[in-house]
Amino acid sequence: MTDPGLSKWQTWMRAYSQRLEASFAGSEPFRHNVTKGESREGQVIDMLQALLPQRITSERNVVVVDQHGNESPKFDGVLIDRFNLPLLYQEAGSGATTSAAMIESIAAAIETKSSLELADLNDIFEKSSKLGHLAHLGTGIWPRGPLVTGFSYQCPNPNLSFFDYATKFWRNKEGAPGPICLLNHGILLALNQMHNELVVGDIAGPSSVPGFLRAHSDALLLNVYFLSRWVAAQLEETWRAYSHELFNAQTAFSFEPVFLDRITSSAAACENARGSFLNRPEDEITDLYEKAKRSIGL
Amino acid sequence: MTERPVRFQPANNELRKGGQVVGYTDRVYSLEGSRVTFDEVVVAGDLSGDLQYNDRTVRVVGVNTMIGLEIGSQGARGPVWKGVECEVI
Repeated sequence: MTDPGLSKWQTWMRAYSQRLEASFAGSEPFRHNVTKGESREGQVIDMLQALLPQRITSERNVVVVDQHGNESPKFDGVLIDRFNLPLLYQEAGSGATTSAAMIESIAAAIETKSSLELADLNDIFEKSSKLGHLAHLGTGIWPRGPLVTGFSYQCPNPNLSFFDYATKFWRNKEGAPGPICLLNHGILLALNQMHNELVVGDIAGPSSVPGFLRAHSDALLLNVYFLSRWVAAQLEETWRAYSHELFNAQTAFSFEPVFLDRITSSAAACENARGSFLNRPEDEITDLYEKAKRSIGL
Repeated sequence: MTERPVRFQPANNELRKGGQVVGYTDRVYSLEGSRVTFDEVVVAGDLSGDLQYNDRTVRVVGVNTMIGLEIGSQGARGPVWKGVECEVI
């Protein structure tokens, strides 16, 4: 049944979200972890290939290489320009293949997680930082370099994940990844302060703050929007028009810089503040934040 | 800070008047108070009167230096105004 208050794009993307969740659950019985992981990664990459503008192609299991021969870690998938630049290598044979691609041909690198916890965030940040250290000629369709983005089917405690994301983001903005989608919860991303508003940023800049867009069942729609605008930025207003009420109503949560400074300069303060977010996945994050501030004397 | 409205339209460095771009700031500035000083503005039109900058209205109230043509490593550009003080309306 269609909700009359929803745009068609929202309705369809919510249906996609439900199908992805069902498919995630359907892959649970697979006993072999690699098979399970590849199956889940494949669903996300396939979905993006189907929906995103066709100026990019999705490829799975890609190693990104720079002109000096330095390699990135292997990503679950990349969005790549196969129209103008060749692959450097593709392993022949049946089944899963591994490819090597020029960094200048990469629009975005995607990491898919079954469930987002601290170790998974560490992995995404580490891969983002390593990719950011590769040399880029500043050529190709995305001269700023690739966006690293994450997708997680589940997140047992989104409040705690935001705390961990924000801490890592504040410690290393340069190495921070782009948007991380928590299916049916929201998006972790960089925001820029402009007068009274927070402006969505694709990549973190020196004055960016970590943000949590709590879009709930519209998280997948926003993730597709962010990736679409990254690969074809000049048309982003057109996409927003197809769900303008959703976009106009969005708010984001962020911590204040004084709080971020405190928790990233003292391990004890970080531990105390983090304790306020433990085991509280259903609580309102603004309440947990107040508690965390009190715990470190702010 | 905590919960605040979000704008999806990316911030840019364009100064507009009547919908037309009349200048480019050297970077994107955050308009927090009642005044802002742009380090550099490359002039592309009439910068007098009310101007739009990322959905806010600004008015130039002072300019430190005006250069007709600036020659740099990337070629010539200009006119360039430096130290452009604006009132945020």
